[in-house]
Amino acid sequence: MLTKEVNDLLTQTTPGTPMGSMFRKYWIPALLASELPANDSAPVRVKLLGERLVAFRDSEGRYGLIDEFCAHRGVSLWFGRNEEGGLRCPYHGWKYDHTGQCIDVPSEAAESGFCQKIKLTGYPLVKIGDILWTHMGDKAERPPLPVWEFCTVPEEQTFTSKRWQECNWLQAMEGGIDSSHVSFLHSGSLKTDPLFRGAAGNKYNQQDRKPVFEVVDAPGGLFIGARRNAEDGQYYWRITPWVMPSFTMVPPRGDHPMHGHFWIPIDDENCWAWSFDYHPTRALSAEERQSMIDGYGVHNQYVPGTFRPLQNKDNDYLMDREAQRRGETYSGVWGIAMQDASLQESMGPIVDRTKENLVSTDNGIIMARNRLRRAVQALVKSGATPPGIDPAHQKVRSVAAVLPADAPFVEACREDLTVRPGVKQTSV
Amino acid sequence: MHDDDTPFRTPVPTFDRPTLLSSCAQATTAEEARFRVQYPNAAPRSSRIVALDDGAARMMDDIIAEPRPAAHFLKVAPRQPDISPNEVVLLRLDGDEALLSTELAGADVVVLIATSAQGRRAAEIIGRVARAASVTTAGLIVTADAADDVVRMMRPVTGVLVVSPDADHLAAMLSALRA
Repeated sequence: MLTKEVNDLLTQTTPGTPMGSMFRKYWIPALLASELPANDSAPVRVKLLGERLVAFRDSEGRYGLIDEFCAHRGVSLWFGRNEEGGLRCPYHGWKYDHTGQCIDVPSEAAESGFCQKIKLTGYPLVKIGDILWTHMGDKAERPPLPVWEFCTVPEEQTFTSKRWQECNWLQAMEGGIDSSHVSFLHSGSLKTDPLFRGAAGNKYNQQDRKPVFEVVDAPGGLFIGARRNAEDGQYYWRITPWVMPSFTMVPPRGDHPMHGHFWIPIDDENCWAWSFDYHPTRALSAEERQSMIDGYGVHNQYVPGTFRPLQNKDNDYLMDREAQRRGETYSGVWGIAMQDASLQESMGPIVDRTKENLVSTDNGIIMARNRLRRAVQALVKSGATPPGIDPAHQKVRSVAAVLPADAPFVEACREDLTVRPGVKQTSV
Repeated sequence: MHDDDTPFRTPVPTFDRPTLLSSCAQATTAEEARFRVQYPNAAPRSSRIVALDDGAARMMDDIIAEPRPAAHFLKVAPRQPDISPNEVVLLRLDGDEALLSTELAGADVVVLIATSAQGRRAAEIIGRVARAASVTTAGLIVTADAADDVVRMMRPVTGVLVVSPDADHLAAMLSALRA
């Protein structure tokens, strides 16, 4: 349970809100690099943290993310002509460079300097891995570029997708740290999904459906450990890292690629669920990559030409009661990603947390909310740098391991939970 | 192929589903949220918050000002007379003694707080007796140092365990659990 005040504090990210200010301290995913495939390719409308923006790649390959609307009459620059080093409004020809600086106002004499006085808000856009990242905060406080392992391994080792999720970012993100739902909601997928099945560790999930949780504070966020009984009195641990504000990783299964998410607010009632798969030491196989494209694992299928899932609230997520009865899916919704999204969207655009009844297995969520609240309040009060900005906080991995019964899982897996270039993930 | 492989069926897209008032498209809107039935859907939970050591007791003292009518705040008494292998003497806030067996009667959840391994014996008894009585146990370890010993003490006796250097997680946990 949260009070309304704290629920509002954590869920509102538009300009001027405390959580909005905190998100603006980080580099966040803005677009897939493939959305701007070439110089002078079509501009893309982008909404992030409640700000309407347009992204483009100019004639010299420079990326821009600027206010969507022309300073002249408020026309959307999505209609603009991306050519000759800038984005030109088709209404009266005003032109902007990749920083948002107006560089041409045809109706005014060039010598007048008028266009120098016109500047749209502009944010940096930097390609790292498959993603174009932006920082929407104060330029003077721009943090180091992100170093997440999934976007710094060679491109043949990684795959990223994104989907529009029609609910607040926090309830989507809380699904990423709520390991206790896996034994129910995703139980069918362990046997069938090509990106999950076949791992030796799956038997522990299937044999012990009542995991016990431990949550340990980490400098960048949390480590959430779920333990199940294994052989000889040992425990099978699945360890989920959460790094503030909204990065989560799923513990690995066998030699399958590792996967995880970023949960990025579009506005307070919509978010982007970014989903990635990567392998630290080998290229993804053609079959694995095709499975990701086909919507298996943490990915999904799309309404053609969009980032809206094929299964969405307008078609009741293609609910299949027969598949549910046959035991192929637990909820009747196909695919891990949409099993999560369908239920999280059913909670409403912003879930009313004053009504919920949490139990002790929800302590990962409880701790994460408390870390977020403290970080936001510290930022507002003293300008304290929130966790997760330090590159060291980003060098984390999820882990699956069998450990002695009395081993503290973080200490026992300290190295395994840390990115080690060239070293394979620790998995069972 | 692996022995847990089974045939997999991808969904066949169908777009012939009419959108009805009860369809997800309507039911998940902000407008519809106001029609969610408003009523208290859970009876109050009765909690026992037990400080296992002196550091934990100080933490507890810091949060008892906030009203929590369904919670009993207890400390393990410094003197433990040899009453029974299943009994622990506890101290209530007013300093009165209370027996574990009395406190567990009617409890829904026991939250054990530790800052060290000082309360090992009490933790073992409370965890064992609570489990026998089907009372949920949760543990909070608050320490800035390596917590290996305390984890080893708490893991067998709690159903969920939280390890943090920050004392304010206690209040957050109790509020979130309506304790």
